[in-house]
Amino acid sequence: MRIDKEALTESSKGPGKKVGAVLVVGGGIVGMQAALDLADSGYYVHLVERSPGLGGIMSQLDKTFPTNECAM
Amino acid sequence: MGCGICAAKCPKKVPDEFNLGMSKRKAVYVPFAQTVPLKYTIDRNACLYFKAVDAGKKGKCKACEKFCENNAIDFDQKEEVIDLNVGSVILAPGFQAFDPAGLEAYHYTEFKNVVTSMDFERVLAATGPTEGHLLRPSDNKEPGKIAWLQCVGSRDINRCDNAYCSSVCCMYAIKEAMIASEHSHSPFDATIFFMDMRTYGKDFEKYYNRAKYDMGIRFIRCRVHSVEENEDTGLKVSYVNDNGDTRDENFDMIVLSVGLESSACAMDLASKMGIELDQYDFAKTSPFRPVATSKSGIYVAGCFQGPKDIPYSVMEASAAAAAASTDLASVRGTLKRVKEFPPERDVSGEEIRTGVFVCNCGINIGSVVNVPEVAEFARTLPDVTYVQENLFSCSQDAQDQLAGVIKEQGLNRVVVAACSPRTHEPLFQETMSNTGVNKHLFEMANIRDQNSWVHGSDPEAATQKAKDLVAMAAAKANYRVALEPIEVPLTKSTMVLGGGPAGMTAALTIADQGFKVYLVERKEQLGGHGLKMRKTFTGEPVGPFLDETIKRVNGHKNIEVHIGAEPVKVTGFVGNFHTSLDTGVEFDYGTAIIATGADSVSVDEYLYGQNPNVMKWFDLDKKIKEDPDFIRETKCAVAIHCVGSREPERPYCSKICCSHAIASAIDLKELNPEMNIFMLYRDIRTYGRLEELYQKARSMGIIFVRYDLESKPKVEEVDGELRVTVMDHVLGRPILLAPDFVTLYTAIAPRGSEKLSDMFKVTLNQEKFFQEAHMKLRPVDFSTDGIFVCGIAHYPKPLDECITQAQAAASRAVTILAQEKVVIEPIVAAFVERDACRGCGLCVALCPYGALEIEDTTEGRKVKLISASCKGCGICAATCYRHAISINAFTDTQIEAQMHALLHH
Amino acid sequence: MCTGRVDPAWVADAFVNGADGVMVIGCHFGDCHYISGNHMAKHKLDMTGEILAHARLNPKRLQFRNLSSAEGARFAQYSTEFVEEIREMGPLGSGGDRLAMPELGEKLKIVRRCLAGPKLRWVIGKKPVFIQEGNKYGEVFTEHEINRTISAIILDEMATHSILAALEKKPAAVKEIAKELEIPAPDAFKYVLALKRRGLVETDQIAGQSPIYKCKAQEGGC
Repeated sequence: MRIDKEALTESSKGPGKKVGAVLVVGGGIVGMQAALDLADSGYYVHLVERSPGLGGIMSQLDKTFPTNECAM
Repeated sequence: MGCGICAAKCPKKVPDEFNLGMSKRKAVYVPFAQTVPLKYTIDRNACLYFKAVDAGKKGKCKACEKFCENNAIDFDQKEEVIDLNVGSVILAPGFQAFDPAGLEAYHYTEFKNVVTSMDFERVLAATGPTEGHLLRPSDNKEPGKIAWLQCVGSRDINRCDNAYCSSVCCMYAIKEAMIASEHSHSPFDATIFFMDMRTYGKDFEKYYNRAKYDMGIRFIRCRVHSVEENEDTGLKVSYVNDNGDTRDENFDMIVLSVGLESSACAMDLASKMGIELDQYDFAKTSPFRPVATSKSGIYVAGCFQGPKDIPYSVMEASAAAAAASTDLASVRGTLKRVKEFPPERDVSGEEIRTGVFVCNCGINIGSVVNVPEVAEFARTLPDVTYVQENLFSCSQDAQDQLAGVIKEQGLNRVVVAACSPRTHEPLFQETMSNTGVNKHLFEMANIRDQNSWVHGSDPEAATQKAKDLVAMAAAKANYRVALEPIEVPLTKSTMVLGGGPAGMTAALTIADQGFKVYLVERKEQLGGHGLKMRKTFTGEPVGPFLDETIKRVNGHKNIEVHIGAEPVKVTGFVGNFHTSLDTGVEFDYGTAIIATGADSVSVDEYLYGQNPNVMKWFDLDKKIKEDPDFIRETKCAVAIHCVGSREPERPYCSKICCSHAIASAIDLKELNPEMNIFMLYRDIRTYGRLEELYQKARSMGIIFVRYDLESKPKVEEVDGELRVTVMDHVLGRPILLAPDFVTLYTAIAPRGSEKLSDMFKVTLNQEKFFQEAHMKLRPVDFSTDGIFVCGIAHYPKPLDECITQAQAAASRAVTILAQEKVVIEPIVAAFVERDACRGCGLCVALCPYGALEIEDTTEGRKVKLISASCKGCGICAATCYRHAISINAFTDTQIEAQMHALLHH
Repeated sequence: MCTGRVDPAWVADAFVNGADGVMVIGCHFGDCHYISGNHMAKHKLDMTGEILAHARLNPKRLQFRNLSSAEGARFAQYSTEFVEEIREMGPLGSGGDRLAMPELGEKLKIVRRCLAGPKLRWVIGKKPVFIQEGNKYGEVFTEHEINRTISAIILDEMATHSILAALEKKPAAVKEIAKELEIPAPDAFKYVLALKRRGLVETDQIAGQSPIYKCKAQEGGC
């Protein structure tokens, strides 16, 4: 999925009316963590990732420093 | 459902981007085996059918569609445009690795054995093109000698525009060198060519030392300017060594440590969102609001905010979530969806009726294991009343059918022999819950990942092993009992310890979301080290921010400030803490944030404390502010870096000294351009955008002299004047300086962390900084639930990172506070025989989580189980000499039943 | 669940039920998912190995390894190596075991009783506490000192439980017990008296000059 042009418009409901949902763009470690925190905090999250799967660049790494733990 | 037949049948191979083109994948593919969802996708640009259609011709092939046994492929799917109404947006598009193809000197793409660090990650990975074997691309031979060239696409304005430091390359190069030498079969020579070794993070310096001294990795301080290829596809590197001599050395392979930059996609996203970028094309932010973009309601996290490592990315993710959550607190929960399940059937009085479902997983299991034979065997097992084979147990059809069978057959135990419980147990358990059967009456046997996938060459043995696994699962299922989630009450408030910038930010982030905060500061005023800071490293004045923050904290209706106070007693657990302060005040709270900071240490070297003109850290800043005339009259100033840091006694880098020292030196130079300023350093560690400071300082004529730990500078007093001697590596002789004053950048060490560690039962690292639950993925959590850490109590860091981490800690606390209760999965310690417990306390002493306590009851001394703190490790159960305690779902009876099923059938 | 959950009695139970080898694999030291569980497991398995050796089982039939979840290949390697090693030893009662079946089997049952019993569980549970914090009087012990104590208790426990098991089968005099279990008679006498004091054993009858002891009927067996 991708964010299309003219993607961002003010809500049709008009300003001042808040929506309890958040759009998170990017399904790597950062997007996933943000989405999890928000979902656990009581918001509906739309997590959008361009590629067919979640994981991002961290999944391409072999180990991580400084513990040499597996990135997967 | 991820069986993979489509990919097996697809005739079209294309380079696999996951392995950076070093291997092939099919046109129908999953990006990698662990991704979520594990569903195959057609790559439209590679698919033969779509290519033909897109070229206006009649499409053929569709092999995948023909072979898919589940009709899961739909060639008529169309792109859809979805409108979303959201209250806030978080951008986390990540980074792209710098492409060195444009740098002629390195001949990337031209010389086969010159690879990038990203390529090399895949070479090392077990799932990579060489399956983790260390092989070089030109001849698939194991390289015996590899060089890493640092700062490719970073700290470079001549060959690319990336003036910044990418922050992570030094560490990943060390990591790659270490892992490569572990993978290597022969004596292995790893060499890292670097400019400054920037191992500035928590435990990084020790990692560097281990690489250097224990693993024999060579570190050569030199930027390599060209690479040549030998006849045997080996590579020749020319460099200038420490003594100024030019050397040629041959390597089998070269890894370019490429920097991090914003991708075109990210920049496109930014323009669609209408947010501003900085001069390096990262999202523009302010150090006081590090995750806020130029547009209100849109936040940024991760490398699009600036180059950084994983833990800081994760912190920013939580910080961005906190920022969005703060904006939307008034509508929290309005769109939240909660799953509802039918009431549960009480099966405790029923005879055991176990259903066993054996999965073929397409051909994944069925092509190796004789599934009908396993199913037939399952029928012979005790209490098994129903057995079924499935093609795909996880398909929606199979779930519906499973639900039907449970009802029809009155099953009260279910065993699925299929894939990994790690990925699929929740799915089956949900189906159980949907049919009103407790989800803990479910057991799974993994006959795929650890059986058919690894014993493909021995179907008979694999079938036997599948039978063993099914027998074990069924035996355990017999002893499974219904378990309910454990609920404990929640006090919706937080205690924040420490009233510096981190503590105050955390307090405000929580209080702004409507939760009560007790802010406890040991000093008589709020502000912490913030009070001494004149400006951020990027030049913004700190005063107005701090004044505003203190004002907001003091005036906030949700914050109760306790200054001049320290906790003396902490009891309780997540959701239910209680603290007494030394002022006599007591309160209850649900979560805690530790932001107690750290201090620069005092030293007894370099005449500190003996000569008034030997100062440290903020002494100079105070002087600049209060006595500018003194600065204007100064002819020569010296700053010594790494005082007490990166030494055996404190083997860590204090991270912010380089930047602070340089920022102060720039101030001096601006006040008095005639002043001679010497920075005596070991490595300059101005990571990320802070590299600008270093560049500016050098362009202003500030002189940088490197020294080694073995030849530290000497500071002496001669006739009342200061004399500094330092060995210059470039000139090869000592330099004698006569400064008017010397500033020492002494190590930053934690303060009072041991006491708090005892009080809160949280861990410290060797240097007594608070130890987070996981270095990478849980950077602000403790392993003890409900307690979080931020600021320099965790590790030295600049103000903007303290603020990020504080927001992150607040976000993590709010994930608990936003609930109605603390709900715990019941896989925790539980009594099997409470009467047997004598309250001896053996388990209490061994519990790593403080989840057990002794209490006096009417039946005498007993152990009290604090389920909210229990992680289910089971040390208590394996130790209890009265066999009174066990772990739910892992009881002695269950495990022994499993063992006996294996040994006896 | 952690390796720290592995109950030493399970290990003995596995051997009693016919396992020829047991391998326990935990996280790498310093990298335990449950902070300290793998260290606890190591303590327990060291003791288990020692008591199994007393039962004259080849101690190599019980092994402890460290692995992370990312080391699938090494897991396979360890498993294969271990299975090979056990195959070479052959079934219980051969390959370095210093006792033949079914006698070894009986001994292993005794071991299981010892490991499920209070004394060894108590001392092994106290081991890390004694090493790190010391006893009630603040005396801190070295691992060596603790291990010596554990060895002594293992001897006591094996003897005690062997006597109990023998008396469960049939009442006997101390002399007979000493002979059957190959324990010096004075030691056997000491153990029997201790058991009598704990109310586990009573005098059945006096045959000639020597009392015949029997197991006292207990709730849930002896």
